[in-house]
Amino acid sequence: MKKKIFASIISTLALFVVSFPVLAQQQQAQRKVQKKVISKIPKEVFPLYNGTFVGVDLYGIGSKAFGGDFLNSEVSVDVNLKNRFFPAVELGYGKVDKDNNNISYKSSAPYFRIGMDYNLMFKKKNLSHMYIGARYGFTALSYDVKSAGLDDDIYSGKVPFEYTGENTTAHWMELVGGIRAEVFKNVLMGWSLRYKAKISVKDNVHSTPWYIPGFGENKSSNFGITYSLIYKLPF
Amino acid sequence: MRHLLKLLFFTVFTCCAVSLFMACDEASESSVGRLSPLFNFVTKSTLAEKSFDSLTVVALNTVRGDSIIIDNEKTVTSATLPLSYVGTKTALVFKYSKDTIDTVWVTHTNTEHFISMDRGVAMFYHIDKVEHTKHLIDSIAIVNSEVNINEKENIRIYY
Repeated sequence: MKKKIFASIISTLALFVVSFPVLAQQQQAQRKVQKKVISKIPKEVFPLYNGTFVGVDLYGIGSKAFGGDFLNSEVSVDVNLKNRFFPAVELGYGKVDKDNNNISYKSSAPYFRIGMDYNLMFKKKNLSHMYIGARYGFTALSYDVKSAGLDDDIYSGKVPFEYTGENTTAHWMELVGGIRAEVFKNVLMGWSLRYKAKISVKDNVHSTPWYIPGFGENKSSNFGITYSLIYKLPF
Repeated sequence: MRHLLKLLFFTVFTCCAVSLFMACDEASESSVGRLSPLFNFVTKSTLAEKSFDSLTVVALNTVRGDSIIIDNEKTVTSATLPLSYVGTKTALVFKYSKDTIDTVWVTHTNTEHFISMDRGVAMFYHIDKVEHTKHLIDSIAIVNSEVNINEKENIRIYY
């Protein structure tokens, strides 16, 4: 009886030892077949048009609420072409009303940006993606600036300072990098970081515009951020 | 659940970004103060900097009559000298010693200009003409007629 049990254990082990390489070879062969099948599946080809997205920037409004100087709000429209290129148009309105060191500065004007984003995850059929892009920005604005005037403490005399309705134009470029994520069906949230470089701002005889809607403070460059709520239109 | 995590990530990131940008906004420049033309003193024969053993510069027709701008300074090779905000001709007297004096009249156009909220309003000038006596001064050249925030040399006096 013991001999029989021992013989059956030995034969089972022998069968396992013999059959294991065979099983492994079979699995390898299966994997190869699977790989071949996968490689034969054609790459996803995206149509030219993949949808239109409308976004509202919440950061411009939020930053004012957090104590910033500028109130900004903008709407963006972009179109997904080949899941790779996203030509975009942004229309916004900027406003400032600041009093500091006896100087009062007021301005409000619309601004316009046009450009394109490039989807870094274009191979994936997914609304969520990371992107880089560029924009050209333009605004024509009017502003009022008043101060207590200039007192000449050496030669005597006072020069008043009040200029209203000063008109100017501004042009700038932006480099954009950002991310979008689908949070609900066809609803996305996204943020973008922007490096803004001034191309030109026209000075007036009595003033240099201080705030450029869409660009920020009148410096050679600015950093910006947008935080958008985006909706994919159902067509 | 995955969507909620994304929403949470976006909210946290935005709060951090807003805080960072608010902190960056707080950096500011100081007020520009009074802008004045920069005078450089040069020896005509060598074009080297002219240095005086003693130099006193007095502005005429000021609030206190005549005001000393530079008081008996040694080894002076340049000076920023104030022009009037209201008048268009400013007179400056250069005293090199008790008996050697020159007077310089600068004719200028004044333009009050708002620079920025941090730097404020300042008077910009366009220098139209410079006249002078010739006791020690040989000639005067307007190197840069615009007096503004660029802080360039404006007037060169040759001795």
